[in-house]
Amino acid sequence: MSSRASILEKIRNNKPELVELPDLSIFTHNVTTENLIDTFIEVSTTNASTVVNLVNTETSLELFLAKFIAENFGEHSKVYNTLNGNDIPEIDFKTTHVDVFVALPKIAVAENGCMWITNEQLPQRISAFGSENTLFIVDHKNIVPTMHQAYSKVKENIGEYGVFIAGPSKTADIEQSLVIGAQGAVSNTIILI
Amino acid sequence: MSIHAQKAKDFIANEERTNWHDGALWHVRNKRDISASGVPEWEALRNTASQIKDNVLSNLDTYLIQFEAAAKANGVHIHWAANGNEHNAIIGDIIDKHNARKIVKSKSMLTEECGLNHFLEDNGIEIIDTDLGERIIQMRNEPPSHIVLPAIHIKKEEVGELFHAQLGTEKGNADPTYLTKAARTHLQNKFFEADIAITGVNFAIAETGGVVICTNEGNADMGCHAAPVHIHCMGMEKILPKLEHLGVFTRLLARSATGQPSTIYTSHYHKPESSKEMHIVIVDNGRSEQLAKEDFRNSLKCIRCGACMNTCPIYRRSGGHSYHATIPGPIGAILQPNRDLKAYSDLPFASTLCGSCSDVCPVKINIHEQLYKWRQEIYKNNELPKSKVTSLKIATKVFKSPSTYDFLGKFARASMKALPRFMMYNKFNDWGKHRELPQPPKQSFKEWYKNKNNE
Repeated sequence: MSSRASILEKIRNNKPELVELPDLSIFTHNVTTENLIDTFIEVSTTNASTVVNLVNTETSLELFLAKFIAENFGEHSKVYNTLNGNDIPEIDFKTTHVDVFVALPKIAVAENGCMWITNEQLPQRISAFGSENTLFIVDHKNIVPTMHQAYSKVKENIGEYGVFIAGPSKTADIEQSLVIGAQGAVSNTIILI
Repeated sequence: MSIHAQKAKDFIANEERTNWHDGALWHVRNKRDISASGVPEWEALRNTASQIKDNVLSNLDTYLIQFEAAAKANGVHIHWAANGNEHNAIIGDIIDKHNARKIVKSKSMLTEECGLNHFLEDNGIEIIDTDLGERIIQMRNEPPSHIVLPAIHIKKEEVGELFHAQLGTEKGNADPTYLTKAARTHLQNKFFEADIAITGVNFAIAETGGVVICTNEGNADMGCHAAPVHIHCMGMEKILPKLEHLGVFTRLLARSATGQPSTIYTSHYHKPESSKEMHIVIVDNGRSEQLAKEDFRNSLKCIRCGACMNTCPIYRRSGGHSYHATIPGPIGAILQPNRDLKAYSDLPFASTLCGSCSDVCPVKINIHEQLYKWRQEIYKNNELPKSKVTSLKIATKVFKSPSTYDFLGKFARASMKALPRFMMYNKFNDWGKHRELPQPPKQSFKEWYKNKNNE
């Protein structure tokens, strides 16, 4: 008998009587937009992201972004920008230093700062991890209260690969001292629009 | 002395380190409390998570078949391993097929359980653990001492010396930021050199055929996206029925583990990137036997958050290595005896049965009750040390006879007052080590109660 067949047979013989799945509809959250934005900013800041709030301003995103990147990552910084679609020439991340990855997540979560991007924004999956810094443009209309609402939206398009990113990579593996910048991006910026 | 007691004795020989370890883990427990209390529906989440896992365990075969079909439709290769050896052999075959020589691996307790690293190293394959804590202990040739904080038993000065010797960092520099940067540079090279990346699995979704991996460092993603082949190794109990159930578990996992509202990366792998290959290995290795045991099957609900370790008064003061097992702490003490009752018969006794582990468990495993039940199994299987059996037999006799009990109580109270110090504080009395015994009371509770009623 194959291992597959023997494992499945053992489970059939040993499993307990069927227990029904619980109802998840109790986890609904009624909150105001203002609440969502404030919570999202607060949590993201705790997660060590830099948050710039452009909601209720007349600033042009394009101009702001160009200026912000030049000021923070250098005039000639290499940018992996996915805002205008994913038709981006392939980059060898092993040999090319990319300063900043830019994307617009479709979902952002107030309770934990998670931002959802899929292969649609990641023509090369490594781009969000192999770039030195990440920068996300978050439309405040895309903020949901908790992971429950986030997954009902994720369901619409799970994609081939999708990731929630909640800040820059970090570790506390040496004596519990928090260090920002482990194996992924060393900084994360969120521009709220 | 049991193995746990002996190893714990070695650990606490360094008092300063023990106190640091105790305090650091309590700090993490505290962060968990703050985080959990910030979620009003926390208890409802725990109950729901526990019920979802009840459903999974009662319908596991169907979910695994559904998962396999969905994953195969996505172009993912599925393998089944009845035990650790088969798991390692499957990975060995994939490595051979690709003529791979260099492997990177993110944190996976399952591959630890299967002894994958040793297996590959014995076959001349380089395997690099890419989680910083795991890399540190790998360089030291040690197993992890905690499932979430693998290097919690090591001080920064030791990491400084280790990195100086193996990565060429400055001598005497023990700054965590400096050392982390050095590891980052070292690991970036390893990611791009690797032929295959291996990861563990936090959750697998039956409905979609995908696997979910949670990290803070981004190392699992760096590995998988840089290498042409990625393999995900999962214990078969990691299945969740639907995507929506992730909403419950992602809210519980990081809060319980470190007090963070979420891990930094929660990655969902459904299909390989074009021109790449994705494999999933589904492992049993004793889990189907555990499923048959009504008293113990709940331990299969574990999502490996480590909260039971951080809160455990024994774990915090004896260190993870004292459990001489892949998974230490309270959850390890109820998982390991299922694998080998004889080898791990000491672990269910490494507990005060205070129940704090069950209180913090995000999936409500009755850990302390299972510890108590394992003790009875161990007795029934004649795996208790003779000294313990004898003293328990004597205790049984005493508790069965009220007059003997009264007499011995009086005798003990009198002798505690009368005996010279050396008679009580010596190597034969464990209760007199490192502590002062309490003053004996003037009368027993029974005497007090009798007098009270006579007044």
